[in-house]
Amino acid sequence: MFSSIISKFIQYRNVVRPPGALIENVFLKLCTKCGLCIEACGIAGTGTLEKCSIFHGLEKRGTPRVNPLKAPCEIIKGRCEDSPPCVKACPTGALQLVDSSFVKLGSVEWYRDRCIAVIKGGGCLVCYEVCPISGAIKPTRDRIPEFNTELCIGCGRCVNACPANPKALKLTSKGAKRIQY
Amino acid sequence: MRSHLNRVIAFTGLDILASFLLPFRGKVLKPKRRLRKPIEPKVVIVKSPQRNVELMVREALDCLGDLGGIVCSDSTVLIKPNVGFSYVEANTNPKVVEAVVKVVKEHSPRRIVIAESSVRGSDTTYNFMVTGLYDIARKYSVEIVDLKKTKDVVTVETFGSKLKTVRVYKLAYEADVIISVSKLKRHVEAGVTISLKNMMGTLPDSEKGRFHLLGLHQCIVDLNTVLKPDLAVIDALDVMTVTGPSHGEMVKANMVIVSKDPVAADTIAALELFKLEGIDSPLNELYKIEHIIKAGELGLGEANPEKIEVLVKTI
Repeated sequence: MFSSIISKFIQYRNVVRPPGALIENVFLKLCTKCGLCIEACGIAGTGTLEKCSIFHGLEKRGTPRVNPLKAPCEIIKGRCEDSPPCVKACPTGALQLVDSSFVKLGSVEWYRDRCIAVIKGGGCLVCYEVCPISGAIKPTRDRIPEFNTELCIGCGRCVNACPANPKALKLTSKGAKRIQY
Repeated sequence: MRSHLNRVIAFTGLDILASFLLPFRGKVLKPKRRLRKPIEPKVVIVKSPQRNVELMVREALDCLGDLGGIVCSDSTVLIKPNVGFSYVEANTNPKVVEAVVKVVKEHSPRRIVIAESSVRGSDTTYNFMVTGLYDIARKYSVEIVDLKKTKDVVTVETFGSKLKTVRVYKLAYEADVIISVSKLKRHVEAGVTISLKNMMGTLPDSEKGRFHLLGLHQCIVDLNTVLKPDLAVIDALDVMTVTGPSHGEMVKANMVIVSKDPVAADTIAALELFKLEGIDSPLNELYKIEHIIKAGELGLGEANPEKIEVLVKTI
């Protein structure tokens, strides 16, 4: 019980930032919590960004985060590929324009016991269908997805599309590439 | 968390209240499009190395016979391309859609609509834009609808065995004529994705998820008892082989496959796909594609390649 609360707390602290975010401590200093990136994402982007709540930490409250349950971040092979609206909207430079090869928001975590393909012995693989990176998700011989966290860019398309309830996938900031300032 | 919530709901008696209210939430409609009598299983394949797409589509439809039997002056025609992804190679070639729109427009139906709902989590409007379908719709002044934004969903009874009811977009349900303009692709779960699987693009996202939970093959067949394409046009100009539906080895086949019987069209197209892959026994591979075989058993069309009349033309 107690450990689950702690693990939940740690998960909350684990915030997936929009593409091109500076390294966390600098990002927090530069971000004025104006919410322009979130607004721009809603208008010109997919609408994945939202404000962190107080549960993510006092200092992070109000800063932007990627919520794949609302929508995926289409920074690679999607509508924001050429000009990410969140980066363009940022007035302070907390979000910077980066090359598409540098983009890695985080990586996806797989909960084996919730996955439909594992429970039913094949019959899903929606995550593989929607993945924009070839090789990041591969079907094994038992028709179960296999995740390559190094290739995964953390766009959250698979998390958004997962038909399991509760979702068998979770987006974490593990392995995120952030700009050193 | 959810289980706790369920317990609270059960304890407070909210579930009893909900069971009273739920029947009024939406009524179940009867299928508008009855299972029609089997059409003659005739499939036309037109090959053209020069890729004159409009000529190919016209030639194929001429060989099939008159389109006038399908498209009337007072009918609403739904053209359903496969625009599932934001990568152009995974979508139907826009030139094929353009040719179909052009031919249908000559029969002057009351309304022509291009409609699609992309894969879960993908933005259909953007996919239309990338594929260039908005330009085509503007050029020929036909409607183009992002189904995900309409949010008008109806519940329909099916004649299937697994799905009793299915929730589809109202626009697809009300269309008099459905023309499926699909792409010949491999699919990781369904084996192949052609005309029958293409009809999954008329479902809301939640329903697509339910299909995967219940078993995709049977659900595709059950959906096609309600929404069966009247005309199947298959874009096999570039075929996605080996893996799919988003990434695969693209092979140039320079073909367009057309039939009034979607099951026959899928059978022949799947065989062509297996031949392109270089599989030794395409027939054995075909028997693994459950949804085509089941659709044939249910009488939606002809799934036996021996009974299908195939006409191959080269321009």
